[in-house]
Amino acid sequence: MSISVKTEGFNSPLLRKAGREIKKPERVIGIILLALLVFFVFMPLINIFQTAFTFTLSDRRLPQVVLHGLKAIPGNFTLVHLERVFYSDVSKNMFYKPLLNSIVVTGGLTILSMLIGCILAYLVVRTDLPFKKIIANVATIPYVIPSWPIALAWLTLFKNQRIGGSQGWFQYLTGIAPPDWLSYGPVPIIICLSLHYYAFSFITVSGALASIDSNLEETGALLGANRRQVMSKITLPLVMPAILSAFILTFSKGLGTFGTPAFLGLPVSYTTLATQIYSAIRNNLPGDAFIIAIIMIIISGLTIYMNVKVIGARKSYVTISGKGFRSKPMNLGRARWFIFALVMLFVITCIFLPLYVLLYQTFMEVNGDYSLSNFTLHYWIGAPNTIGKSGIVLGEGQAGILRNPDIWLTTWNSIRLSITVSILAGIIGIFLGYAIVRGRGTKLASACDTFSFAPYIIPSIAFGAVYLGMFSRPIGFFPSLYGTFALLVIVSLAKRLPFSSRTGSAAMMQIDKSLEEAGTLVGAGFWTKFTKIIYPLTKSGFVAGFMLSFISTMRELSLIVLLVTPETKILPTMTFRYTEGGYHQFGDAIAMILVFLSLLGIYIIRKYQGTDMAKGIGD
Amino acid sequence: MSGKVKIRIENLSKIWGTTKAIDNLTMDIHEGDFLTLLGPSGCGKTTTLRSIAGLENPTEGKITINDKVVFSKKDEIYIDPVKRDIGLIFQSYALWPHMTVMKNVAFGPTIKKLPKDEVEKLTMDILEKVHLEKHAHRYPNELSGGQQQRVAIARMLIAKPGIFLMDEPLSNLDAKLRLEMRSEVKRLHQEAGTTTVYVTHDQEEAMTMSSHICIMKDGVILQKDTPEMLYRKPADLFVADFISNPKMNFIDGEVIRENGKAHVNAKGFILPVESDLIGDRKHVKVAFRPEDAELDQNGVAFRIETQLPTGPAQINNLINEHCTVTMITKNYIRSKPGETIKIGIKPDCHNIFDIGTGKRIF
Amino acid sequence: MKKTLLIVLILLIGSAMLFAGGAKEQSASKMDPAIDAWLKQAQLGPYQPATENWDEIIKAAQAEGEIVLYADTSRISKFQEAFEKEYGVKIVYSDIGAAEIKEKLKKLQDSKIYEVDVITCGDTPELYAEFVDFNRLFKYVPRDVEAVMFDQFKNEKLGIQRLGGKMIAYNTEVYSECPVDSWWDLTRPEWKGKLIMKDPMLGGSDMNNMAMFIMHADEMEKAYKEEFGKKIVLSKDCPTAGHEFIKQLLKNDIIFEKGGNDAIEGVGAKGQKNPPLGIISPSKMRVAEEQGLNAALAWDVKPFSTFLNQTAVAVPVYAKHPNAAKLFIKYFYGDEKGGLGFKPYNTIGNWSIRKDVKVPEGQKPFQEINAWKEDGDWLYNNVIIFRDFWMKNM
Repeated sequence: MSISVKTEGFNSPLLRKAGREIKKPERVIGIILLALLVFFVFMPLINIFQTAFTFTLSDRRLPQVVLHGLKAIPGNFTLVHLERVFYSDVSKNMFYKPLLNSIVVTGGLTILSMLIGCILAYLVVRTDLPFKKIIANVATIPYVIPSWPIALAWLTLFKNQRIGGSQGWFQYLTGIAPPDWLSYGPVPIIICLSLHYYAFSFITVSGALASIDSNLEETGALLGANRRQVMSKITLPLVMPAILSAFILTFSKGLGTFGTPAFLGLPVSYTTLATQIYSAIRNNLPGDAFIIAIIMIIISGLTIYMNVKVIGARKSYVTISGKGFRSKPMNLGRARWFIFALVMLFVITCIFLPLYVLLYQTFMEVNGDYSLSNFTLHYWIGAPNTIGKSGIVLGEGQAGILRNPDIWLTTWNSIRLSITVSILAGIIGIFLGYAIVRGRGTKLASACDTFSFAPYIIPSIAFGAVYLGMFSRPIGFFPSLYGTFALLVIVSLAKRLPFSSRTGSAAMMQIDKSLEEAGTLVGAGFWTKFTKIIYPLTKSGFVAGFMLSFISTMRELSLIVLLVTPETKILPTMTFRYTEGGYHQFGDAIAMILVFLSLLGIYIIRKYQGTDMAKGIGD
Repeated sequence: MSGKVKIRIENLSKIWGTTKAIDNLTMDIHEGDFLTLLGPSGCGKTTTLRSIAGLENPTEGKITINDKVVFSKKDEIYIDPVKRDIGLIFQSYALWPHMTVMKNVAFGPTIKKLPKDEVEKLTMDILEKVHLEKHAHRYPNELSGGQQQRVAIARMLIAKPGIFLMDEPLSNLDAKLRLEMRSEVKRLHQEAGTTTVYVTHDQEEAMTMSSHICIMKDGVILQKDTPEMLYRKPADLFVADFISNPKMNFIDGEVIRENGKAHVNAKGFILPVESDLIGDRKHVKVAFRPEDAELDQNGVAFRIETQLPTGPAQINNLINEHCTVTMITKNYIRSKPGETIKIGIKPDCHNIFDIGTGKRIF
Repeated sequence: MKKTLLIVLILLIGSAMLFAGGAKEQSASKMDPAIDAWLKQAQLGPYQPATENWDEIIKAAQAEGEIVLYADTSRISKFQEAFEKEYGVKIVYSDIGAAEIKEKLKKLQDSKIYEVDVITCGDTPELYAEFVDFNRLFKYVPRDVEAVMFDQFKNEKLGIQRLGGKMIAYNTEVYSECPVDSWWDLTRPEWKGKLIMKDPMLGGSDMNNMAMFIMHADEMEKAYKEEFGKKIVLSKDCPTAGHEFIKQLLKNDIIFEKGGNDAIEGVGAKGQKNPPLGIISPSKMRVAEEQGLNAALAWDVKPFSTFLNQTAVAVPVYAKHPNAAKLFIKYFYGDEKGGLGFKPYNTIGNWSIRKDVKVPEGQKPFQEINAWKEDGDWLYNNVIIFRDFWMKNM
């Protein structure tokens, strides 16, 4: 790398040219990263486009092909999928209705989760709410729980007789059957997803709020602004970048979510774009699927574009300068305990209740019987072929999960994958952040920024399928990676790129350039500066990013499902198979293991690093 | 004072997009100089400093330090900052917050792989010099602003550079501390006679510390001179106005030619001028310092508007129907606000500027 | 920004067109000599000997050491240990869905990775049309199994290991006897919002099954007359009685589920007052039994009682362990008692294709049931058209 080349004594004009300039490591890193991004992000994107506009073997039986008498030669260019999605007699139910539903659900969940997240963040960071430290920690738990168990918990609580079967808790306790709109469809989807995704805005906004000097607000108050004016004229604009950033994260992620809408939407035939993609892929219509995927990518892209437009150059950042600032908590006055009670109610019903329901279910011998006599430990530690109290063979004769050697292997795989991915994601994130922040304003930097965000808006299922196709064969010097642990790591890393680059940029943003230049002056090379100055200073961001990656890799499912082999399978694939097969107790128990591992991970990292997760996606 | 040329800058330009931060700048800095680059923000002074340091990549030009070319666009030469015999103090100090004072200062020698005990000794010596030996194991954020400043100085000193570069090092300090540190920086310069390039936007700082000041605006040097000359003979109206506290007096003057001799009538002040220098100009700008006005029975009448005693002197703001004048007198004048006094300008203490170009005529 | 977006878009579409044609499917026309050589080596397809020497196959299998299996069934684990113990051949298996099996196999084969030795899954129409026809999968039925197999399976393009069903189930606590006797009953107002099934849109054989109403439209027409006593009047967009049935069924507010087990639970859970009907796989009756559910199957419905879905077992091209694969497949077919690898499937809801295996108690042989069986070619060619029709009426 030319970053360490000495200038004097070069004769080759090319090298002289490289040496002539101030060595700009961000350039070299940027170029390397861009090459990687093109390979790991742009190529899959091309692949998606390619699939969307070419015939596959399966397309020979499309009504449009049959009717028009087309010759669907696999691999040939076609617009038939475009026609099907936008302009055919199935467009309405395949695309337009799900599109509307997706917008309703995603819009609803984004607004609701932003509301919850922002209010909670404000209460925890800026007021004298009792026990706010604990609340702040607990509030990040929903991020740890995969989103679909919340949907399952919802069903357990609120299902009514529409889908038959046993009663939900609500009906069991009150005797009143919840109405359909409460049990299924957009309302519960929005609520369940919000309970998961509010963590985004909570984490981001509380990070931003924590860095606001309360002098700024007090000045406003001194000038005669009332609380509401201070809030809307000073505080809100200051955290706006963070809020919008959280908005994008929530919106794009929500748009691509499949599990929860499937669980809660299907009973009332409520479809979204994500479920349509799933359906099309499952029915061997990848062309249809990828056209819809492209639409989703465009929608997400538009929200990002609007966000960039809105924030524009106003983005302001905190820098590490060693100067302190005051942050005086707002006095809630008499409302203090009342608000505390409300927050506790939220914490209990929305965070602990789902967890509790899931946990409880793992101890239920037969579904739907909530009495104590139905208690069993079988699904955790039972021997194979145990016959339960009611005389039935529990779990179709399968042993409890802690006795299942497969689970242990899988758990180990999950841990291994999560740790590897999160370490690498952290490192790549810092390099990306370096290239993006230090190269600000250059085309290279914005290319890195843009590409690294792209995986965010490619649906996971599509991403996994593309990777399977791409990396199962050797590409140049790159050997086939199929069946290797490395492939899982790579695909997870690629999918994590948006997060990594965001955390990395946020961390780099906080380091004044002069800190680095001071190193240059005394002769520190790039590597020395990186290890001695940049890394130590970005460590908190790095660790926070590490935690986020750890958690999300731990629960990643659709991305990986096609890529795992028996040796490399991981926990989420197992819990999904169990749940799909109707073994709820096993599925829930494995989900609990997932949650436990994530919390354990966070605990360990916090203990040894003393870092807040909040710093991770703070922007 | 001026010895041999230490730093030579030739035709230096730096262009950001379409704006020229430095525009074809040429200057010599001599051994032992304390040169201050002074100007409003955005004038290119910091960019110049950073170009000398090698932190900026100029678009055009050549920089020579100690007779060695360290940067030349034409010959494609770029020498690393560490090999330029310079030390730099940043405006923000750029102390590494994750390292103790000791580690901050010792960073340079450490990465040069000097023996550990030698590094330690060197560091402690330097810290002693800046009176920080007791704080060696503290972190920067546990120090006061002045102490942080001294850490930055120590970190610069440890490499024993032949040139000190300082980028507004005192701007983050409070007023009292700033005065203290001013003397300290000046002492530092005097002790070793190290060539120093100092960037500031504070003219008082520049005036009190420098051997030479270079006034910059829009990437161009307006005047490079000793502080006294700068004060007495500002090259143009901008410099005259910039180097003044309180404000210099500017009065429109009319050139009057009688009997082949010319003089200027500036709203009643009659000032002799040299005809050949004044040329055929009809109107000029007359400028004089407030302390160069004096009570004069034959002078121009003004009404006293306000009087501001500063202790050692008195500032009088005067007004008549044509103009306003600020006058500083050592002795408090007896007349009170509202009363009328007559004033004149001390001989040879005025400058006359061209109205069109703003340049000083004499 | 807009310009950049446009450029990127053009680039993407451009490169899509450029790359188009890169992923051509193998042609079906000729047998590749390399494949032929492999078949010969593995003694598969045309080279399968008339009588097989199992001692030799077992020995070769043991030398191969393991088989890599993709299965859409988790019950492999029930005999895995026994198999491995008996033959010393390891089973490495991935329990993934049928859609994943097909997607993975195709992608791997396109990448010249031939790691899979045996696959077993449902949705045979697609397997036939996109795998067998393109020499991606090969049929293997042990000669001795072939000898005891019902004739109708002998000409299938792949070996069929078992049959599964999909039929109507009802709650026995509320209904002492089956409340419906015709599929047309499901379109009556009294069953509005009271039919649960796994959403066919989620793929698998469910869409195939629904498409069979079109395939057997004439039977549906007859059944309509029987049920309502008059000739059916078709809606404008319904060319057949099958279409009309689907249209009316969808209008009757079906409750879709994500998985199959939820449906049986919905139908059979205790203490319900107004339980729904379900279209479920009869093999789920074992779940019902274990969970103490009050569910029963409707064995007598017009014009048919159950769909019959075939589960195929096959050897992918260039499998590295063909002998181990054969051994596994033979084991998977079970013995005449319905034991060995068939044992976990010898339960209500499954039928062996062996004449000599006794049908589990409480279940009629499939020949005696009025059943609609998958027709590979017809379904493959029509299921997408049908899916569109389904979607239109959703």
